[in-house]
Amino acid sequence: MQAFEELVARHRDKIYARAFSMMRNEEEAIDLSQEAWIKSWQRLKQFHGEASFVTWMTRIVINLCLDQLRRQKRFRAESIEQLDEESGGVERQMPVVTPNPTERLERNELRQRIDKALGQLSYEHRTALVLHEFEDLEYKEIAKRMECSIGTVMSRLFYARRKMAGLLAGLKREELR
Amino acid sequence: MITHETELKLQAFLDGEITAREAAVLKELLGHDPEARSLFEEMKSTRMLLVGNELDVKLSETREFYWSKIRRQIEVEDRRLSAPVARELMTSWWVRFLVPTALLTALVVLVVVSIRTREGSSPQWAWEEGHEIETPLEETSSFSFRSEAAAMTVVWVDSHHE
Amino acid sequence: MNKVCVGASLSQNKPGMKKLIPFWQFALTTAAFFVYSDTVRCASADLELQAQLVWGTNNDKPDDPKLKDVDPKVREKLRGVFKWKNYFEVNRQSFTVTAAGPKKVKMSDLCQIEVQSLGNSSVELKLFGQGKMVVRKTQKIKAGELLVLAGDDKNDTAWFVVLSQVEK
Repeated sequence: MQAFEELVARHRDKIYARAFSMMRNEEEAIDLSQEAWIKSWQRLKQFHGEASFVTWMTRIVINLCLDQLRRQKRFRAESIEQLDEESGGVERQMPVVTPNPTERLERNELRQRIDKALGQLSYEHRTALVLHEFEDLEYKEIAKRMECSIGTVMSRLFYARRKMAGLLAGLKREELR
Repeated sequence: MITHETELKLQAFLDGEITAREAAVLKELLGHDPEARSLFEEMKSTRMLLVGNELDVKLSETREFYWSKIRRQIEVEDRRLSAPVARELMTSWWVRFLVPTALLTALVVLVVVSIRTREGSSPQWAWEEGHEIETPLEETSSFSFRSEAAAMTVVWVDSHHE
Repeated sequence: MNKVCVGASLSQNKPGMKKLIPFWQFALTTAAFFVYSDTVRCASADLELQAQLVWGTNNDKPDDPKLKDVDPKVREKLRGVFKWKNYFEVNRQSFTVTAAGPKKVKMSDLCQIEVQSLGNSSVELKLFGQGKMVVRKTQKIKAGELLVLAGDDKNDTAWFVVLSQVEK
């Protein structure tokens, strides 16, 4: 149990951070990350190396977050989402932008801007983006976890990226002041 | 103007989620279509911006506080899982003999220690510290933990009101 | 060891045998009585205690301007364990508990505690909210240590009942 506590202490921030990136709520992220650790306790002996265990832990907390989002109906029905996007969401209309001059920003400031922009995405778009860009999951895997089609994953990722490009393009305007 | 289907294919090309044949078609498109090229560059830039730039978020709770709730729930789960096994063991006739003997031995040791305590030595047994806790209301639960650094025993009361 | 008594415990169902108390049950009972009376003999003198009702928040100022900062020692201990930045004292009560009976202490209009000395610096602390017992805790309180009952309050704040021995 003590060894497990050490494991928790070493990796708790990472697991919590993943939960927070998906839920955007501190209390929920804490509860879900703790639930993930509790679930993992029984399976601990299946892992030989700590690195594979942490990856697996991250998957557990992602699944718990997705379950929670579904339970709370924060994921809209695919059909409604599709209607929204087909009718011409803002992201489809926007001109192409180039979020480029970020090298002058301090790394932490850039990360904060990105995090703020992520907070403005819908749960579906943000989840698809987080799972693809930060967890390196393939479309097929994301579709399985989000319980939707690969086509829907591609759409969500596309709109998420376009919206992020628009939000982060504001960096260029501020740079010129 | 490129179709939405082509936009998604360009994205799949960027993400390496496309067949070699489709990739070849898209490379050709990117070679002569400026709109496709601009969109592809935008997606590529956005992707590059995000990679490695996720904000480091840290837990605000202390190590002990965060761990205490996990530990408590693990103990509850472990007890729940071992209960059927324990019941099976108890029916064995030899256990019915060993358990009272073990209890007797434990009590004898306790008596010896309590004699030594009266003589001034420090007590060894954790139960003397007292860790009994009760939360009678249905809508509340609690867990306790100890911080040696702060010389503090905490009972955290969770209310389950919606 | 009385072999007859041990034998009797394994063959209680044989007809015609006298039902003797098994030796091990006798020994257990005697030992338990010894330990119990030993514990009772060690009962300490009355305990002088202090209870503080504290409110934890990340706001720089409390909602109620009359509230003051909790004393620095307690504040640092709470900060070391909990996430909130600031801790304000809502109420403080000093009282003495004896083994004779529990002491009821009103901490606020909604919150009351009851403390009973169990001897040997041990206390039983009960917390009542709106008249109902919310939690009961038995704990040894040594000088310099704190027993804290806590829970969430609205708007990401928290309440704390901090029990300690009065410093002499």
